[in-house]
Amino acid sequence: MIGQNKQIERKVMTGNHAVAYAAKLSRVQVVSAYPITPQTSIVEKLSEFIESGELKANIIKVESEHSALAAVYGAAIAGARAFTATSSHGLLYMHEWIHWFSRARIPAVMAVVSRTIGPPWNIWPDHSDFMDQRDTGWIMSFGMDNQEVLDLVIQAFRISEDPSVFLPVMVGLEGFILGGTAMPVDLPPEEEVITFIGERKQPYSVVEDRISIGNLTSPEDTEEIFMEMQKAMERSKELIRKIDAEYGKIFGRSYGGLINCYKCEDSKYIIFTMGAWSGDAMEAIEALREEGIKVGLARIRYVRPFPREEIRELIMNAKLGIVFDRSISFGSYGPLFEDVAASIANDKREGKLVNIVAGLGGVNVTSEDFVKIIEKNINKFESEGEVELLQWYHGGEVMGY
Amino acid sequence: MLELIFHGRGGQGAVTSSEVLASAASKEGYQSQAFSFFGAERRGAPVFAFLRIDEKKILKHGMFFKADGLIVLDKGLFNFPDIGKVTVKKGGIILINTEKGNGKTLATKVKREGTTKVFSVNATKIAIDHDLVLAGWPLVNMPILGALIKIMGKPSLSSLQEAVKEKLTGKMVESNLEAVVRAFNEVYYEGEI
Repeated sequence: MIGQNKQIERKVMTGNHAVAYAAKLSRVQVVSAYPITPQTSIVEKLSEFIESGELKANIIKVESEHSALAAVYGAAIAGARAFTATSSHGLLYMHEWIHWFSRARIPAVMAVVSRTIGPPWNIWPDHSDFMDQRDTGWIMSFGMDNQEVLDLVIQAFRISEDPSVFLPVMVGLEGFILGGTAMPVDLPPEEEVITFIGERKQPYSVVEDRISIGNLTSPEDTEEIFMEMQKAMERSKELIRKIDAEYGKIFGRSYGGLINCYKCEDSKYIIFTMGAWSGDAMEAIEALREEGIKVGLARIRYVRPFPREEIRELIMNAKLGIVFDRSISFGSYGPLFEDVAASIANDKREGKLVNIVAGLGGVNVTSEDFVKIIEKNINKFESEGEVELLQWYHGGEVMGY
Repeated sequence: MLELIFHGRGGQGAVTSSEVLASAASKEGYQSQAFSFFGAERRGAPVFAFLRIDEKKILKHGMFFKADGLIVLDKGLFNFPDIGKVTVKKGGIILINTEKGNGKTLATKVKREGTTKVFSVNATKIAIDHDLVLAGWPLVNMPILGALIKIMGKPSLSSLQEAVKEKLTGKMVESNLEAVVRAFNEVYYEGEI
């Protein structure tokens, strides 16, 4: 009932606590965080672990998120496995350091409990804060449930510290929907997690090496450093797929790598989503399939590196692709759609692509909503051969811009 | 899938009720999901907590206001408009913390899709009898679960007690365990409406 391995402990916990357990199982040595709003119970739980002696780590409380990531950076360049977590405006306040971190090629992990951005003041979840970080050079993954969030955080340490990558990783989960919702989570044994991740690895250490970091560099050298980051991102794809499979062999859970496919195989229509609402979309897929509509779902697990190869193959075999975004690049499209569309930019195909922007500011989108949106678009495509490129779903209605 | 709504007052522990029951269900191999109303809550104000239990993986997320069961932790909440958000499905249950014989009159104020079974348990009295009072508030959130699992037939009393022991600490644990058993035995079927 609880799995084959007797050592596995099943606990009902919130997504925030799943993140904290994952950081503990990964034996983080330094946690730095701004402990006030918009902080979550992740750091609170980690403080409890440290106080009880279950986790031997230093916690550095700082006056802002900007300083929190700076302290994580300081600890990481000195050789520590370091971690932080934030949300919403806290994440935005860190933005400068988020760029600095990846360009310094230092491994670390950060959890982002995603929430929208104000004004107006709003504490509900969407992907606005998370997607705002897509150009920062961090590897970015996003979970669908608390178990996956725990697994992603553990794998994030391994990916980040792999010498072929050496980039920081951020793991996303929505506030409330996952962060504040309790569900059963299987906790793998700590020793096995540590064996899986391995010893801390990083490209350089300010303790061991006499080096200068962040010095003035020529334009050509700077460009080379950035080109190398892009190459590391591309290399990380194979590593992410490999690690996902290996994790599956050891811990019994594998998700399919950069994307998770749900009934994609024979699908004429493909839905793209990211995050917890993918579960509601899967329920919609079930309902539509019962009506005989061959529709499948590709859940994007990694936004960076973007799984263009997997996505290209899926779209090339589909008549219609519907990309759901829970954030928008104002004046353009949803950011997931932009990347999906770019993946097939040079391909000749008959099919169409649609972008649906929905669930902003925490608006609840149910499986019934998904059915309504998907059915409407499929019907229009089948009867007229055309679909509106960009659509907004608001107040229960699909509308144009 | 079973979907339950706990309706209480901020600070009364409705969220803890849903989390403890989610944990008890998980011990018996069920999948579960427990969460509070998505938003900010104020102490004393009407609040909702949600619980889903299923045999298979739960894919749905987010709040719902149409439920298989409604559990009301404070009968005073029938005087507020918030309870009007909830609809109980046909064949569903309504469990109210109130004196025996009061349940049906109160339950008629709840929107229902069809016949509903009404139950009552005097969790406030049970809490007071077992010294479960904190800052003047009777702690009804654990005892009411004893009544609920009796109605549902699952999870078992022992799974619930185990979940209570894991969630709570200190001297309140024993009193809560006793109160849970008493509510289990004292829950009263008020009839159908």
